[in-house]
Amino acid sequence: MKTRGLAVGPEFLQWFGLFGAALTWTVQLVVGFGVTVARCGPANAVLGVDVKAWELALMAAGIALVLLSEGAALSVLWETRNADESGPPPEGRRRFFALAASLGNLLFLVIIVLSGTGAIVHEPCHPA
Amino acid sequence: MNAFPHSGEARTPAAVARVERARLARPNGWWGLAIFVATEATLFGTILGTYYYLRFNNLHWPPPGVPEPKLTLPLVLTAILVSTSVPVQVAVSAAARGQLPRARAALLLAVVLQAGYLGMQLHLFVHDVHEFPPSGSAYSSIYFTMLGAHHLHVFVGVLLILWILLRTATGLTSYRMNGLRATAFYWHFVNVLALCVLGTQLSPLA
Repeated sequence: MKTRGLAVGPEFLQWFGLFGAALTWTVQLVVGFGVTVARCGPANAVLGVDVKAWELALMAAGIALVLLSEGAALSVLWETRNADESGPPPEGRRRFFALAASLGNLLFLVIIVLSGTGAIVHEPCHPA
Repeated sequence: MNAFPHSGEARTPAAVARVERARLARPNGWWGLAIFVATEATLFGTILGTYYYLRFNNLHWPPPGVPEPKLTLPLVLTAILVSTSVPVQVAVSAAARGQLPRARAALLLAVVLQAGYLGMQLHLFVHDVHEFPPSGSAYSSIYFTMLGAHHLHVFVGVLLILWILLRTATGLTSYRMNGLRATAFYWHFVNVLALCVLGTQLSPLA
């Protein structure tokens, strides 16, 4: 959106840095669940779903997106290095978001790797 | 010193253009619509999730006796629908620059195409209902729920654009500019939905 004080680039980086990793994990979780349902349902006789390949692809794409998201958060953090996170908006708020995002994204990275690994290692369609 | 202490005071295209150039944040109406769109996305997420859940639990999809979805016509119609995002965005840009006639012409073009799409889709919808009624199977039930919900959203979008067209007939104000922005946002969302619904509708052909 073209505005004098609110350009697309910095705004996109801020929101992608803050929500990108969380959305990535959500997609991994929902699609991974769907893949398992497809593998364990009657339709698998026709579909032939490979859970491990799907989960591996989801985890790889997830890691890549989270790293991009972290990069976005760090770039905003660097851009607002002269502001204080408890300072007035917009710079103070952007720095606060970037700080929260740069830490939160690391948690999402761990969650994505662990849930992806778990889904790959475990045998599908067998209750634990 | 800002030429307009409050954006609501901008009541001519030129004044609106000045307000838009000076704008530092999105209007509240845009954020309100963003929240609405989030709830709508959740609704469609559950509908699409239901479709795939049922699909994965049925060996035959569509079930025997129900024809496979057509490919060409839905693809062409959706391409037409999605292309209307361009004139809608052109209308927003033109209005933000104070070019009201250009904005209204773009909106008119968009609404004509959208109405054509909706008319054609409703015709196909009624034809399909007669061919395999919603009560016939899980497939037809979720098929018509998904398409019906989407057509309803297109209908609402057409009404919103018609409303903006009528409102701007007497001029452009900052308030109406906000309405146009929110309507455009909603319309782009409807088009993203159209792509998701089309992909799901055609998934049995994959």
